[in-house]
Amino acid sequence: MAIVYVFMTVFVLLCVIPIIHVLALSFSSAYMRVGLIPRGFRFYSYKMVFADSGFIAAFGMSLFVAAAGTAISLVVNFFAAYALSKPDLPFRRFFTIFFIVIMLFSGGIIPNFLWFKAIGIIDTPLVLLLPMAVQFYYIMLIATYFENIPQSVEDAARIDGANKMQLLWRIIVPMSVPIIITVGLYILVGYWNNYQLALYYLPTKVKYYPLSMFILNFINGSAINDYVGDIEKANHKHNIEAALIVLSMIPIILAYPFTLKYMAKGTSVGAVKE
Amino acid sequence: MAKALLKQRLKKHWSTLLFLLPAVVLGIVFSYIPMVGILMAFKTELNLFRYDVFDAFFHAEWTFSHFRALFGGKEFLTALGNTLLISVLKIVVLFPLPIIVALCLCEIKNKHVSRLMQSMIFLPHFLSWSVVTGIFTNVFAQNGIVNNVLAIFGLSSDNIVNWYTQPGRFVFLVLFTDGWKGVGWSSIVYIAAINAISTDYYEAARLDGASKWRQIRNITLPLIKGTIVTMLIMRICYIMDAGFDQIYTMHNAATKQTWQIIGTYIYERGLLQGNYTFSTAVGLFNSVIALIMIGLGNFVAKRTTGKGVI
Repeated sequence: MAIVYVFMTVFVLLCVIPIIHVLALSFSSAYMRVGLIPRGFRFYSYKMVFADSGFIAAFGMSLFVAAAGTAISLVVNFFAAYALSKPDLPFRRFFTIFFIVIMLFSGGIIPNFLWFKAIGIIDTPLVLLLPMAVQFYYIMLIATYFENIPQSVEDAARIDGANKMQLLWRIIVPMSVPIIITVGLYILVGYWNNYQLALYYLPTKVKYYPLSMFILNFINGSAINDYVGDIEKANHKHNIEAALIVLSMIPIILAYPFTLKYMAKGTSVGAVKE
Repeated sequence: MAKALLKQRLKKHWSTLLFLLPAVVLGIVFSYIPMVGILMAFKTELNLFRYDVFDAFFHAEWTFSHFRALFGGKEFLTALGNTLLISVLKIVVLFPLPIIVALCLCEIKNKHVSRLMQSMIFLPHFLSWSVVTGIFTNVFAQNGIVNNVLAIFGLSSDNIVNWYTQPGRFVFLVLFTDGWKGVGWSSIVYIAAINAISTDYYEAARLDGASKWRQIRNITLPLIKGTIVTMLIMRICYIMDAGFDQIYTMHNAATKQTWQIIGTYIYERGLLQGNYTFSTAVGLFNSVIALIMIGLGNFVAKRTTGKGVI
């Protein structure tokens, strides 16, 4: 028994210490020998991050992409799931395969790039939203949930003269709040963390970079030019980087209690059902 | 009969079909149409200085040369080798860990402690790779916490080493950060499987005087074997993906040379160097192998567990 506690404690510490370390770094005025407690506590790094107009723009872009992307993706997948959850839907198998193919196969970066360029969405924020909106995995999660809503509920509403849209909005949506939140969080985290779309499809518009891509540029030193001539800033590049990382984690941490409550439950339900 | 039935179903569900419209339109525009572009893999390099993309496509000659070049060139074979090596190492080293974590976690009977631990080990999964790499470039930096701790134990020769720029340590960091991000979250499937086992088995075993270790070996493991096999097959299906999203963030000038994987190679040759058709050929090769692996995996899963993995 003791060995279980030792193992788990070590593992938990391994998971948490790097995050605490970065937190400590972000509040420190030194870089050397910072452990888990800030050395020379100050808010300098955060001030520097907020003074960077690039950061504000990237943060705003991430918020926009996460909000708009989640809204679009949730609605689109929710509608598709509603249709696919009807066992007697015509061409149901055809459409299921249609979405499976999207999940398993893609044209690849270059065909996507050239096509997106042809339809004029390269170097626009749209390219961060639309290509990952349809996700078969989420459609399946929602559709499985719908299958547990008794058909009689819908039939009763139809007899009362509700049309499909009213039915969905007044009956199905209120009954699916848990799955909407679960999938919504999945989608939200997916959009917030995605940097590949910006990397591939925003070749010249650095000003549209979301936070994840902005951080990547910062780590790789592309943003280092601002630091020439400001020795204080240059000496504390790592502290500023830490502050940047902490700030970008905040939305994830804020959503985390909900995430744990809904997502863990959703995943385990799926796993046990087999 | 079937036709009449279809007509009936169409009549009943024509409006339900409309709900598929947004997803189908997005799917066609953003996934299916670009797939036509795969034909580029069989074309000579496009002349984009003279023509726009579509004209350039029609003016380029049909050719198989890219596929011949793939296996003639050292770069691609290196990338392929690296991809397989990193994937296999990830499976061998990291696949068993979530099972061990789940077994341990389920032994902790105090609900509050267990829940607290879960909330801490799941967290890294939700951070983006740019953040994870950002965290660990600091942790493993020249004057970072790891080198400082090593120095305390007298291993100070390492003190001047920045782990991230050392190609030899790159694979270690790839495994370490992937484990850090994923092991906790991956254990959730096994935790659910273990929790689904009836407590009667364990009570009976306890009455018979079976030790904890015997209980794990003879009850828990056999009963979660199905889950383990399914997860392993699923993992092997994705062997062609060594983790572009991870490795791209970790590359720097020093490690890029030695640790190119197929994903980064496609990106470099295509978007950075403009070898559009060659890069598409590499991508096509990769997708086809990946698809075959997934198909095989699904087949094997159906045979062994009676349930596909897709």
